[in-house]
Amino acid sequence: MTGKPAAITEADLVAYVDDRLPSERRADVEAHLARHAEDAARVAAWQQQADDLRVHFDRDLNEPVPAEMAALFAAQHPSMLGPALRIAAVLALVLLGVGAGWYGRGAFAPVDIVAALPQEATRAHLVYSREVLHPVEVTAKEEQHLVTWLSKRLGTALKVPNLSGQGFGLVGGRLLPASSGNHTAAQFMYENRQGQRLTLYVRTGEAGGDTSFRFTGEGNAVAFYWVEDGFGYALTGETGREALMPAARAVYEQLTR
Amino acid sequence: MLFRRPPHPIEAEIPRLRRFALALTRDRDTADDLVQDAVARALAAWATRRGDDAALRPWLFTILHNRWRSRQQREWARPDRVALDDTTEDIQEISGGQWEALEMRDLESALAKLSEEQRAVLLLVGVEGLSYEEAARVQNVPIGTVMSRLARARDRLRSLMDGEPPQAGEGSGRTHLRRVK
Repeated sequence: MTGKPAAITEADLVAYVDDRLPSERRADVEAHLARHAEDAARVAAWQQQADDLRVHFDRDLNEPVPAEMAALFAAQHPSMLGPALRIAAVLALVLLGVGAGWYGRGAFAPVDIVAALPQEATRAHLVYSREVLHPVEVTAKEEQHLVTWLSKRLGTALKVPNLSGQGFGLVGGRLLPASSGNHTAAQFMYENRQGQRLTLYVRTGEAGGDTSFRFTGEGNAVAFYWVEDGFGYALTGETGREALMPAARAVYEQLTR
Repeated sequence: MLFRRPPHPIEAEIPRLRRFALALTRDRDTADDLVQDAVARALAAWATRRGDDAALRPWLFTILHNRWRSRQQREWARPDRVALDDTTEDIQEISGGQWEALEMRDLESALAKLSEEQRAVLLLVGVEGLSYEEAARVQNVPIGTVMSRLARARDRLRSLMDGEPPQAGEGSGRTHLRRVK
């Protein structure tokens, strides 16, 4: 950098916390904070506060839309399809499905449906376990709310296994799309003191019947998974098989008890 | 379900409009009434709206904020009106051991002590991610005001959370509600 940077203003501190500064100005602010403990403490408090506010306000987003509000849109947008046409369309899709089922009978065998479980779980694990700022939607601080919410969305009472015996504490959880059931899945994230993360992925509507406790590896990530009573479970970690095994056993025992 | 009508773009914004309205009004029924009003206006203006989808949220927030302002102006004329800033809210009874819930309630009660505009700007910029320009448009003030309002709001919230002495109208036991760091 050339020349002396312009003096740091309060607006700079605000924009620094909101991450809206160009990188050069950002560096100026950081240099300033290193020399001014009071401003540094102020900024740190603001940053913590911003995180807390996001968690606080995000709880409100899950509330169902009141019927009278939804009604505003029904009046605005009458359905394009009349009831008779809709029935015909559904029928056509069913027939299409039957046809696809017959021709695709090899491709869509139950074993493939089950294999999608660890794949989806692993993909979700790789995305969110790397996340520094927002690894979960709802943190373990609000465990009760987390469980109630995800149970409601998956349409079944969920419980969260305790892995403290294996050195892993609950970080929180999130809702995810899934290819089975009502197309929703829950992901619970755990972390140990070394910062290693495990995720437990749960989805509904597994059609293939119960399976035994299985293991699969995809790249660096490994997963234990099983299906029971229509629920698919997968515990994923980038730990290797041996390290994941005790946690997987604990989950299995707690959930199938 | 199959063949549901495609959702209107505004519909997806309703949860965010509701929480913005709640931050302004501090009352669920008033907030929902306000959202209802704002959405009806937005739908009426939809056909003539310009701008891309990225600007939809600030546009909706601006409509809602304007509706709230005009309501308040009507309210102002009423003799029995109580200024929002004068109200104090009783802290609900707290069951033992729920530290996390305590912390949340602490934030909630601290937010209640901010001015409506401070609460709104924290939500718009910090949570909804609006740019300073967009937030300034929603609140109908210059950008500089948004910046200083943010600084005041954050400082005030910080001192409230760090255990400012309890104020009149709140029960004893308030002191251990401060944030645990």
